[in-house]
Amino acid sequence: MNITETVLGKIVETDVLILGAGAAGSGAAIAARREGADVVVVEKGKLESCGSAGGGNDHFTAVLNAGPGTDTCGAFVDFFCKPTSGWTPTMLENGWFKVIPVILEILEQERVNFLRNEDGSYVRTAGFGQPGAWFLNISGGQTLKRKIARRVRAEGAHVFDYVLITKLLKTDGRISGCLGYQVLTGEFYMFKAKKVICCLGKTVNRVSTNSSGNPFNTWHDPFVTGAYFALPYEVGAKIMNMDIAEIATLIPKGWGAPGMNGINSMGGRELNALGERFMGKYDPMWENGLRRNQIQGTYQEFIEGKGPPFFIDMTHFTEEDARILQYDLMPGDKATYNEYTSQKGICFKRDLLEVEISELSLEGGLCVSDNLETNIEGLFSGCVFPYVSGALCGGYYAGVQAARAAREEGRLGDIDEETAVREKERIFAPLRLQEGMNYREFEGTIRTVMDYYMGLRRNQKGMELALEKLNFILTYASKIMAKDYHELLRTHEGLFMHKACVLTTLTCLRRKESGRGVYKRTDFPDLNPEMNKPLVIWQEEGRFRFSWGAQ
Amino acid sequence: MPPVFSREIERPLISKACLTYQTRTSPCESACPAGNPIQKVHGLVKEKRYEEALEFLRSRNPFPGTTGRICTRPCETDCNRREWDEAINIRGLERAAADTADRTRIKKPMRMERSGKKIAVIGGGPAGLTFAYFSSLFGHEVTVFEAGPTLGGVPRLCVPEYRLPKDILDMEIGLVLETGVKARTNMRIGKEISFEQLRASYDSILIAVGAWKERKLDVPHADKAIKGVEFLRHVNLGFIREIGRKVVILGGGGVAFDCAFTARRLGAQEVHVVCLEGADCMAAPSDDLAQAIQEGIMIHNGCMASRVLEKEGKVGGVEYIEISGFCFDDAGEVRVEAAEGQKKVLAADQVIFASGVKPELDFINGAGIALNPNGTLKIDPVTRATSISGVFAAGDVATGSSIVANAVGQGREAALAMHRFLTGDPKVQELLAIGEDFQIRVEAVSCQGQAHVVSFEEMFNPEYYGKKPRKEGVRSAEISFSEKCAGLDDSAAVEAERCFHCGHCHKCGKCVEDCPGLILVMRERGPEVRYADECWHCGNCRTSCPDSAVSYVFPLYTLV
Ligand SMILES: Cc1cc2nc3c(=O)[nH]c(=O)nc-3n(C[C@H](O)[C@H](O)[C@H](O)COP(=O)(O)OP(=O)(O)OC[C@H]3O[C@@H](n4cnc5c(N)ncnc54)[C@H](O)[C@@H]3O)c2cc1C
Ligand SMILES: Cc1cc2nc3c(=O)[nH]c(=O)nc-3n(C[C@H](O)[C@H](O)[C@H](O)COP(=O)(O)OP(=O)(O)OC[C@H]3O[C@@H](n4cnc5c(N)ncnc54)[C@H](O)[C@@H]3O)c2cc1C
Ligand code: SF4
Ligand code: SF4
Ligand code: SF4
Repeated sequence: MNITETVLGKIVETDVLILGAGAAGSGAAIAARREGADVVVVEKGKLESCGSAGGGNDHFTAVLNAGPGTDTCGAFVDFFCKPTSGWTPTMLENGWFKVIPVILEILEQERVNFLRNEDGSYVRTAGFGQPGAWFLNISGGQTLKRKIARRVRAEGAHVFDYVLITKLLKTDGRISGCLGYQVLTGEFYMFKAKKVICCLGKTVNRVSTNSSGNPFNTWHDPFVTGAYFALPYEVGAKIMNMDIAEIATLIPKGWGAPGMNGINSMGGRELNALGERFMGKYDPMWENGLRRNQIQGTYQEFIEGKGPPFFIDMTHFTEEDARILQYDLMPGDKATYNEYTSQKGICFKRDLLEVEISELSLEGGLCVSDNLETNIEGLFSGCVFPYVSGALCGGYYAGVQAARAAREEGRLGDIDEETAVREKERIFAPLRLQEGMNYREFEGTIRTVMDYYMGLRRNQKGMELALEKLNFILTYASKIMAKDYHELLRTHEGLFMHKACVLTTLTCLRRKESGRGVYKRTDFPDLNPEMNKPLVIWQEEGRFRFSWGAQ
Repeated sequence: MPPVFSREIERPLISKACLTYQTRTSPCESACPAGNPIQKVHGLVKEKRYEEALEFLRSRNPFPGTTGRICTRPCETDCNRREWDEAINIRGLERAAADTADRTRIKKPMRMERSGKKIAVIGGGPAGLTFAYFSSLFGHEVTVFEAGPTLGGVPRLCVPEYRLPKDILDMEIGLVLETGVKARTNMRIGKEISFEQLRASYDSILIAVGAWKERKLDVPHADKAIKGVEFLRHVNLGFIREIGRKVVILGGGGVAFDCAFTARRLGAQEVHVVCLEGADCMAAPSDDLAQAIQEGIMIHNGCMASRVLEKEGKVGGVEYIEISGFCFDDAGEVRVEAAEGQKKVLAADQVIFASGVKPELDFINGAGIALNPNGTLKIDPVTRATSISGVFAAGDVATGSSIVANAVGQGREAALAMHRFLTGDPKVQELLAIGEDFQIRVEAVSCQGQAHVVSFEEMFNPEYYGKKPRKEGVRSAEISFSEKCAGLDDSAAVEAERCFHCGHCHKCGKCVEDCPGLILVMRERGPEVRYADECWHCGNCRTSCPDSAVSYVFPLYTLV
């Protein structure tokens, strides 16, 4: 790494630049270091706590080739490689499946505590409609991210905590680095690298609220708001599945906490207001099926007036199962779980847990080739596969690929000074306004549009209106005023979020069918077999483009 | 939803109540019966601020030099650090504060405005004196009636000099008297003055006479043997200066070992301890057991004396048998299970009974005060009053044989309770704080219920403190009456640094650094939540905190 101080700001040069230090960024950093590359990781939060895994994780998806026919690469690839997934069998096998043992070894070395049977083998459970018992259950998962972080630092990656990336740089059609600033001090940064891995997190949060009305009271990480899409889109990267990958889950009523994986896989039963267990109508695997079916099913019951309330019944669990679930696994996903249940007076064994459909998170992916490189030369993606396992493994694989590419044909590009000056000006503009709009009003208005037109039921007219209104909101972007660095950070998060909402709406408008995503279109209520493929979007010469099919 | 930080106290607080700003605490503080502000002391000793450390200690306990030496350390048994490497030397640090502080620079709390109320204290042991100290500070006129020739109770009269040099205790007693407490020694209530007379002349009375009635085993020739507590008392007062060559002690608690070591120091060559307990469940502190090995004391576990042997009208030895088990009944009497096996004999020049004590309460006969089945006084756990109005009790007389720290805590709580009784102000019990100006005043920061006691499992970051060996004071191998265990001296600050500060924020700033939403800020009083409604309740402030000082209060809208 090489750091130069200039009047404009700090210039940092490295071989492999990793954007975002979540699970994917951490995996990428470890791998690229092991490949001998000089590595810089840039993260707007702090490595130890940032990202979706920062709140804790309770299970790790691992197919180990160790047991029944479902514990094989074949079963794994079959399950994930769907026409709409955008993943190839090679990608899944090399980029995820084969990396699982490597990541497991790292986690074991860092003393991540997996639940084990008496004979020492892993306790393995099934979930998400997956054919095999692919979950390893993590005890004390609330410290998972810290343990991974310890390894990242030990491997010698240079971590720039508290630096927000606001722009990617391209030189001669190749990615060459990025610009950003230190969110606590306002220091301006210019990063130059041979290869860049985008690990900014493929969920977009704060776009809608649950019944509590607080956009930060979310299941997913509210501090991840769509830079993963907004920044690569700007430089021409192709993005897929922003329509059907949107996600929601069930959360305890009023509290944005995860946990349905554990609850469903251990046999929790969902009941409607009439006390009926209804999930069988919507998924052959009942509660343990696809999450989007559980959301659609619950929503259908809601429309039919059979709820709210909705409940999860776990009273039939053994004392021991209920105890492990409530007091070990749940706090593993959220270290605050025990306080919540005690303050609300919930005991899994004794009471029904009231649940609601969570806020919506947007999601999607960057289109990548088998070596996880995007269509922009030198820009890789670490956030290709789902779950913490997918993020760590995919990140790791991208790290290996990027480091090798940097070694073989990497070179540093130049930073166009004029671009940097303009970006610096843009970044800090909200601080200079004397009067204007607060970031809360700006992003709150985006939410009202998304909640209203882009909920679990949609139609063409509503989405067109949503787009119109989002574009109208954007005319206010230059009026956002930030009183301090905290407000400045939230302002930029809001701008990323805005972009992601626009891209999602644009994509959804083109998918004229229902049944592949968590939402339903009332004007196109059925599946259209023609559309059994990913919808890809990108920007060319400032214009929005789309196509069907990932490759 | 946003975090709540459990903070360390900033000013000395006399009562040990749960505080609104300190809703979590450590097992050590929770276990300390004296109510020592242990963590505050560790924080100050770490910075070598011994005077302040002592001020904080003395706001709860006027005898830190004493408990800092002879406490049996229930705090250390529970210390979370034990699960990581070794418990903190909490007692050593208490002693360090008491010994190292420049006492001329200690600021002493001022007495509150005189109340005009007169209080009599029966018994000048740690419970009675602690009570007298606080009651006097609260503005009452206090007189202590003590049967013995000096104040100080068991620590002064019975605890051997090599464990507690008497000048240390005398100095601490002096500081109690300095607040205006009057003391009348050689005044046994029930003998020199009657209980009724006292009741007639005082507004309120504290009974703190300890437990002095010694059991003698019901075996032949028991009268030839001597009683342990009495023996120690006579040694301390200089009445006994020698003992035979061979001594047998019957009993296995701390008193038995005090007798054993004292006998060694008086010249006994061969000392035996015969006790009911098995080797794995001895009641004596572990330090005593280690010292017993060092000093060649022979312990006979699982045995019971069956007779004292007589030789020429004097003690000749002990006959004893092995037992299979024993238990205590409600009245505190031993019930031995089926004795079996061969009778054995130990020859001895002296036999000492150290087999338990009870309160001696003949002086209240007829006053109608209710007793517990084991002969202790019945007190109300909240008001600390006995069954008759205006009469309170504290220390061993209420709890049965316990430890000095318990007597101190009881004495302080009784002072608070009696202050409330005398002033009729229900609030004063809540919290009495010593202000910057060293005036005592009521502060309304106590909360309902009890602070959550943090367990080791809840400590996410012991790595922050690293592994470091515990520091001990040097123990001399010499068998003499001079103090056996030296203080921590310079290593005190190093030892204090080992403390995890369980449940009390020590302002390291980790939570502020680690909050992924950057919603916390660091201020002088510690971390604060700046953007409460932007909290993701992710728990990172908790998992980053090396002190487990973070809890969460969920907003109403998440609970409906
Ligand atoms: C509460 C919770 C529980 C979960 N439990 C499980 C589980 O039990 N098992 C499981 O498999 N999965 C679980 N998941 C999902 C899993 O944690 C995620 O899939 C995974 O961690 C995603 O990692 P990532 O690196 O792709 O993205 P993220 O973790 O989202 O990382 C993105 C990072 O980029 C940073 N960033 C974003 N924008 C910028 C910018 N502009 N500049 C600088 N930095 C930026 C963010 O701060 C963040 O650190 C859970 C998720 C949550 C939220
Ligand atoms: C030998 C021995 C060793 C001990 N070692 C330790 C130790 O190492 N660490 C520890 O923490 N604890 C130890 N203890 C226990 C501890 O000393 C007691 O728990 C503590 O002293 C109790 O305090 P107190 O004030 O209730 O009673 P005491 O200390 O017993 O004081 C009661 C006082 O009341 C006086 N009194 C009695 N009757 C009357 C009356 N009628 N009128 C006026 N005055 C009266 C007595 O003379 C005495 O001074 C030991 C106890 C003994 C017996
Ligand atoms: S580590 Fe410190 S605070 Fe925690 S129990 Fe031990 S002495 Fe008390
Ligand atoms: S670390 Fe998490 S729980 Fe703590 S204040 Fe920040 S967002 Fe809230
Ligand atoms: S992390 Fe440090 S500053 Fe924050 S609560 Fe814990 S001890 Fe206090």
